[in-house]
Amino acid sequence: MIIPALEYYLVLGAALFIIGLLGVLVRRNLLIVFMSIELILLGANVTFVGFAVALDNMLGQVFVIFSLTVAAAEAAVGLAIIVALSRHRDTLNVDEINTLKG
Amino acid sequence: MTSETLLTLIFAYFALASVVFAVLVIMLRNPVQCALSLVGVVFHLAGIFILLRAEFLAAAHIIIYAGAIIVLFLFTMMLLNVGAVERVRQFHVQAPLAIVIGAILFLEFIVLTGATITVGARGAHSAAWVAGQGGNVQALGQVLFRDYLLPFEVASVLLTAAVVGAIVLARQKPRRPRSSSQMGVSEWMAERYEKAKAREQEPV
Repeated sequence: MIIPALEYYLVLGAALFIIGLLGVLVRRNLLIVFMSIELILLGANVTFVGFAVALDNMLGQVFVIFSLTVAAAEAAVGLAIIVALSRHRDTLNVDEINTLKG
Repeated sequence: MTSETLLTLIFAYFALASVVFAVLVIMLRNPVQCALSLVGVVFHLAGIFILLRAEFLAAAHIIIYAGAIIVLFLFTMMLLNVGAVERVRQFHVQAPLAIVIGAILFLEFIVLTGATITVGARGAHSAAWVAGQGGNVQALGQVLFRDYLLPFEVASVLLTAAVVGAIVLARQKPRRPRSSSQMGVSEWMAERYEKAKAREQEPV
């Protein structure tokens, strides 16, 4: 049994997810867009752990460990891309990084 | 005050604080302040995990997020000159539209959560089973290393690939020198020779 009810944890996870989504949509600084992606992953983690405890199934917590692994790998590769990008283009503004735009 | 009310109050504090810090992450102008707000989010979420009796994940979040990922962010900001970025306009023009859509999505989620959650069949890992294993860490280890050993090993392959990829991406490519600090030794010697010769030819 979890206190408070499972729904509270799900709403918290959804709130974090949507704040992260807004950050990705709204901000123009590439670094802060990356931090927003981390927020999205944190929201997913809260949902995972909430369900794991409410359903008495450890798999949810195991999955959060893998989610943490993916977050760490994503941060390492993404920040390396940012460093390489700023060396080439001298900007972190997502509007100016449009080389792949058709 | 019953323990249930107390736990609900503690949950309310941690949840509100983490949401406020999350809003600060996407609102503040200075990326360094954003990173520190992200630390606040992670610490309060660790409190949430402890409320859920997931102590290992609380510690892992603090160590990996606050200790590794955000420090990586701060190092990147130190390497790049973020002060130059700060002066440009920070938000897209479509920001109001995005906020409206996000609010609609959130309301939709709340309605769906209230309407459709039915907790069905329970798993084998009840609180009594976890206590029988000796605690959250032991129980997590039992499940992770017995039932999910192969995914665990595959995760190590993912981490290795990420490390190699990060090194390859961030390596300084050899290119023509732009300033004296990036010049090769032979060019530096040639420049010094030219300067010395010019100094010799100066009239005393």
